[in-house]
Amino acid sequence: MKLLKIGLASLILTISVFANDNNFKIRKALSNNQYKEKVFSVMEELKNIQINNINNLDTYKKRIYSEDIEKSLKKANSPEEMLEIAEGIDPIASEMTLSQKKDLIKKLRYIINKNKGGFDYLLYFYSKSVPKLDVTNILQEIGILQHNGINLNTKQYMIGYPKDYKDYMLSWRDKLNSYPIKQRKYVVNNFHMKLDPRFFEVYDIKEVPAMALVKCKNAIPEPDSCRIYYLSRGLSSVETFFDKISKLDKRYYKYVKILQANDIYIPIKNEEENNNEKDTN
Amino acid sequence: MFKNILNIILIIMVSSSLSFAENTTTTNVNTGTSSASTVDNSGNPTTTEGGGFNASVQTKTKLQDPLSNLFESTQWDLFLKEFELNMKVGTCCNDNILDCAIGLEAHMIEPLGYVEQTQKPMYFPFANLTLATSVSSILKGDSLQNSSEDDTTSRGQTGDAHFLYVPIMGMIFKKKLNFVCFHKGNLAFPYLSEFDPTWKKDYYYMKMIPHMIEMFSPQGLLSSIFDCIATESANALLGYQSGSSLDMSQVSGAGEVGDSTDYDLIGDSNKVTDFEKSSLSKLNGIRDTFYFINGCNGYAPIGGYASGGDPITDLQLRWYGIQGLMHAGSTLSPVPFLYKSTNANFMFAGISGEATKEVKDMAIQDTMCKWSNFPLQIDSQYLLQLAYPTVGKAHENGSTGVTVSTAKNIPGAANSAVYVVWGRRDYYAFAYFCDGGKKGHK
Repeated sequence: MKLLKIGLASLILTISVFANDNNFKIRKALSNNQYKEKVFSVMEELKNIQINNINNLDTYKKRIYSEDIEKSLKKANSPEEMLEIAEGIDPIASEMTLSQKKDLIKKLRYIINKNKGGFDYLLYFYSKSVPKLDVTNILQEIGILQHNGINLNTKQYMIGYPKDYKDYMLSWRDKLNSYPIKQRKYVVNNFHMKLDPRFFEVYDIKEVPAMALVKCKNAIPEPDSCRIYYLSRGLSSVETFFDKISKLDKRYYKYVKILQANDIYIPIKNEEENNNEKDTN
Repeated sequence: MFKNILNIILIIMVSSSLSFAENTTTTNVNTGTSSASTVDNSGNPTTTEGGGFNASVQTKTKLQDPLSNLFESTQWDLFLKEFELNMKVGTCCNDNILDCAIGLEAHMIEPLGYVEQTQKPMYFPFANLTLATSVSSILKGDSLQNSSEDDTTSRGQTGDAHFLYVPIMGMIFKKKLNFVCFHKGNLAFPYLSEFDPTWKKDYYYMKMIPHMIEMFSPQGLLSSIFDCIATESANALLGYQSGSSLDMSQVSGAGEVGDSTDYDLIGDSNKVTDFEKSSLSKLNGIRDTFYFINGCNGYAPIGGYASGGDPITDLQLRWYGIQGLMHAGSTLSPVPFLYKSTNANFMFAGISGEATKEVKDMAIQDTMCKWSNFPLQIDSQYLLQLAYPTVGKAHENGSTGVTVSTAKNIPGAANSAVYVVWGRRDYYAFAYFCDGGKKGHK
């Protein structure tokens, strides 16, 4: 009996999906030519491809079923190869001019090559006891480096989370108000707080704050896809961090010079923060 | 009127199915564990090797159903990987602007449930459970469900598929993490293909969803190429498993990050902020706009028909069809299962006509404060992770994360496969209407 109820529930759900007027209207609207034209214009906009003189549409549709284009595409090793395979099957791709193909490949390559060389990350590890202004100053310094053409990214990893988490997080806004607009932008754009204890374990971070310079394979850092280069334990600014590194690798001296040449705005700490800092120390 | 009556009946039925599902869970686990032991090809008893997703593509020998192997069959660290809280402030308001809450922009991901396929009606591989009742025996020989041999050979193979709603993180954490909004509810069976009259009768399906046929057009085909490339690129850039050669180590030629001795730390690195704002959103925009194509897997299936070449790919395609049904069904169901919960962007803004406003509103609706209904598939909102017959790493919806080689040499698997479905959410933490209602903030 219960099984029948499940079945009936599924059946009714299916029927009710199609019984709804609005739903059907939307589907109908999407099926009209205007949508297809929109798809076409979107593609043109994105890829600058023009499709002309498609005469033998029936033959073309049959080829869709027979050739199974997607399966062939799976075998491709690169976007260029994908296009080559598609070109062999797809009469539209073969109608593209050389400049259109080049343009398409260039755009695809641009997107994929964005990842070439990986991503430099300055990972910052902290907890609730670390004064907020120390964190925001770090973000400000990274923002200054980015503003000067250094491709350095950052994520902040918090260990544990306080019970009054909402108040704690929203209180960061008060700290932002103590920054001038220019510096505030640096802080806001670089604030990416994550809760990922795996990094603490892998990097053996038992005390916070700590800072690590890593190179990551992907846009989202993960312990197994990031290579750690330098790790600094204890409270320090980004400038101090790179100053120490520059003694080992002189290329980082450039970073130090940039930070020294720019004004780093340091807001005045209030009484509560000073007390927190004393407790931490 | 008709719609209201349907909705009332639906509530009753879904409630019944929920209670039933809870009762059977215990049985499933016991049954599954006892019957999961198998022998390998040489006849020797086998054991589980390794655990978790790291053992993914290596040889698996013991077929353990995902439900009784819950903690090892799901890649739990995805939540840690994707959860992020930013400093961008937003407000969510009740009916008037004086009743607002302030929140911070956040992004998260959670397992929503399982999607599975089987050749045996009323068999549930996720729990290794067969509901061998009179209903399933009727279904086996039912003329409504079975198609002719000609149909099968000309249009690929079909089987049965189920979507099982198991918001496990919502069940575990409930209100303990008040800054994270998990899906709520208990185990449920929102979609069973055995009871869907359109599943194996594509005539019905085409009558119901005519726009799918119209998408088999030159524009549609060309868009499939771009959708495939965009999906694989997004998958590789975010560091998810890729079955194609678009894996970043091969595409960029940069080599493995962890082992190179002459790897240059300074120089050709990238700025993630630019990447996230432009490249990824553009890639996802392509993927979501071409909603009728599931990345490199091809067109959304007509009913339950798929090519039959690779059970894993077939399941991905069938999931895509079910995803569309679930999205559409949730627009009127009192118990919505799938809805738009991310900032997925669609290029529907130029559509005009009688339903312009509805489409436009749904497509561009801001979901940072409250999820919204959306009747079509959203590619970029879901990740799939294989949980049976082997345990695999997660990959983007439509990406070729696993191939037929992943599932071969698994004794007893037949064409059964189970994916864990992961859903993303963009929201204002501390202000989001987590229950979907208008009152109160979380």
